[in-house]
Amino acid sequence: MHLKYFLKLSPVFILIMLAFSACKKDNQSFKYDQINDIKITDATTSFTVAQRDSLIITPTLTQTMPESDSFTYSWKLDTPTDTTTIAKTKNLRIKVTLSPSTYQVVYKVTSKKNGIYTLKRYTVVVTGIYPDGWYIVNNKDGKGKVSLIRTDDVIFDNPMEVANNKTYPGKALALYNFGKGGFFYYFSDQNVYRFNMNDWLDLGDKSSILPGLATPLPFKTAPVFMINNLQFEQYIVADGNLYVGLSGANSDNVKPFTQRIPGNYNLFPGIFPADYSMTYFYDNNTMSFMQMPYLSRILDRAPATPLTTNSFDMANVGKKMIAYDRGVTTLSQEGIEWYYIMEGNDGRYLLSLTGDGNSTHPGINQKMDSSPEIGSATNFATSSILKQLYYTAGNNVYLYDILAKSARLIYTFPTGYVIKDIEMKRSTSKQLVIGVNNGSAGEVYYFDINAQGEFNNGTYTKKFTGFGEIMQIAAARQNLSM
Amino acid sequence: MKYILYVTMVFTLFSCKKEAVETYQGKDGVSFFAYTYQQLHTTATRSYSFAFQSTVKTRDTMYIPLRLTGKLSDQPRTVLLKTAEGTTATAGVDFELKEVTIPPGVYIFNYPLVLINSVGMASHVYRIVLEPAETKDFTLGTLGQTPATNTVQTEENFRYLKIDVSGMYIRPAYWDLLDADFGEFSAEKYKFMVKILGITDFSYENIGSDGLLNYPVTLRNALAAYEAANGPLLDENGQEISFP
Repeated sequence: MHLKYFLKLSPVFILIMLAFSACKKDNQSFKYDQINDIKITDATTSFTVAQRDSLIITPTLTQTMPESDSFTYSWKLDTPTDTTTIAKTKNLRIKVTLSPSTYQVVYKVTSKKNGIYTLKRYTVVVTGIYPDGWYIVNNKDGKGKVSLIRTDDVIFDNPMEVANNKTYPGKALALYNFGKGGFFYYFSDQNVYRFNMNDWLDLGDKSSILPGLATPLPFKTAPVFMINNLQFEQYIVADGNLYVGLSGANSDNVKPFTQRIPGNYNLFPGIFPADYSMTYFYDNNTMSFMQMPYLSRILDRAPATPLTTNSFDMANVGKKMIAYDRGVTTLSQEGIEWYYIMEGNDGRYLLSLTGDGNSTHPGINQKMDSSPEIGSATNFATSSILKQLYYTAGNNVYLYDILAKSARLIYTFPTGYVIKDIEMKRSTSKQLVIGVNNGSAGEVYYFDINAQGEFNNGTYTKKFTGFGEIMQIAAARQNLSM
Repeated sequence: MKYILYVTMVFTLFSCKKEAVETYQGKDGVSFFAYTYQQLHTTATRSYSFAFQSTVKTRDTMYIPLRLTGKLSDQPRTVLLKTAEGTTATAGVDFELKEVTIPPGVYIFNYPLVLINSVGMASHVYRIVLEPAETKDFTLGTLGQTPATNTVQTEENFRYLKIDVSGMYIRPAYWDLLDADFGEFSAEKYKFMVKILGITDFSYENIGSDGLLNYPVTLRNALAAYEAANGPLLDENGQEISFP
């Protein structure tokens, strides 16, 4: 009887037992300890440092219980591809070897006592060691070099030799840096070199850049280099011959130049990217413009352009090119306006090509009358904001007013000085840089330009000496694509 | 009452059960594989000529990309191709198809097709049409295109691959891309290019965009030098060779 009842009730009993065992009272007797609260309280979390300079970050730590704790530290890069630990010290003190770019660095302070950690993110911008300024291509004691006057007026005498720990023989001729592609070219009379524009590391010479050079070395005249507006193509004109190579966003994409582009021509050393697709050249044999579209290797005569008053026919200019410079320039449409000095039978002329991003056409064609010494002038620089042009003859600097068609003397260097090159600071057109040789000693002068185009206070604002015989002044530019 | 409780208890014990994930069941497959831009799909023809090789060869191997569908295996498996309708080449004489072992864990694989420089090659263009054969490990794989994503290009699995093989100077399929920069194909032009540039494969994959643009400049200069010394260079049809 009892057993029967028990069997009947047993499931109920089991369920009740299960219910009892399912819940258990928790005493909730936690033990609370105070922990050391660490904070990194730096106001400055962004640092800019030049490559190969020292990066020093000294974080400020505040703690609520400093006496009882000790820490481990780590500094880690935080990029999608690189999370390297760069230091394990409280303060960061390293020589920067990273490529120029912007980096995130995560600083981690971990308590040795309980493993609790605090993080802080810093932004580090690494710039090129030689970012901006002016290159002075010069020859000293028979050897070529390129010096740099940085924007902070620090002079680097021969950075290419310092960066590469080797010598570059031959006489310096020219340097071209367009702030594109991450590289620049240096021509000596014996060779051509490509350098990384940020750190000046050597990226190759003629054997890999211009293996098909058609003329024997040394170069008779300074070659020119230019990248087209779309950055797809590079051009070199050397001793009248054209060479073309594929370009790209950085030096890894750069390919060797072609052999000489076939054809019957003798190009003036100048390359004129005009609109997005077309680049122009000038043939001093036929005294006419030539053209090459991008991704083509055919150099053709420019088509005839209709003659209008004070203009010219690109296919038949009939004058010899002497010099050129840019006019209006913007970042995206760099070659929208070009000015040319041409020698006609009856004197010198100023011509221009102008246009928008899609087409180019002849602009002005005017004789440079009322312009003292224009027939013997050797250097020209145009303004991108005023219709003005500077030219030099011997030790004199003249300002030519394009609209008034006349020039006036604005500066004279001492007797015995010869002006070798003048260059406009293209980004502002407010600074003219002049390289002058006094015998074999080169000097560089900065002139600030006022609203009328003349020199502020009639004289220079800065003077740099100690160079060899100057061959060229060129703008040092950062890589704009970065 | 008693029974309801017992049943409830029993159900309670079995109320939750791990659900099995449905997986592909069936024999794994194999098909030809190409990125669509390579134009190696069903209607495209690949070509090979013993005349285009830098050295005289009696045999050569053409590698054909295959893709496996189904499960990856940790065991080696075998794959075989067979000829299909339209084949004019003779197995064992002009080419060899062999069962090939695929390493474990692989899903894209290059099948080695052995081509033989037979007597007939000197005067014929033979066609080989291939399709995957049934083996103990594989049947015909899933066919069709995979649409492109941000990181993957459009790709295609297909059943038949046509290959033209010869010992003659036949216009290579890749010449379609060369027409604009190198001009029309001819055997004599090809020989001239090999002589001047020192390479035998002018496909875009081999010469790149700079070769496509820059080699014609080298060839125009070399042809001008040749013509200055010897007069016009004629092709096998008596036409004057030029590079645009």
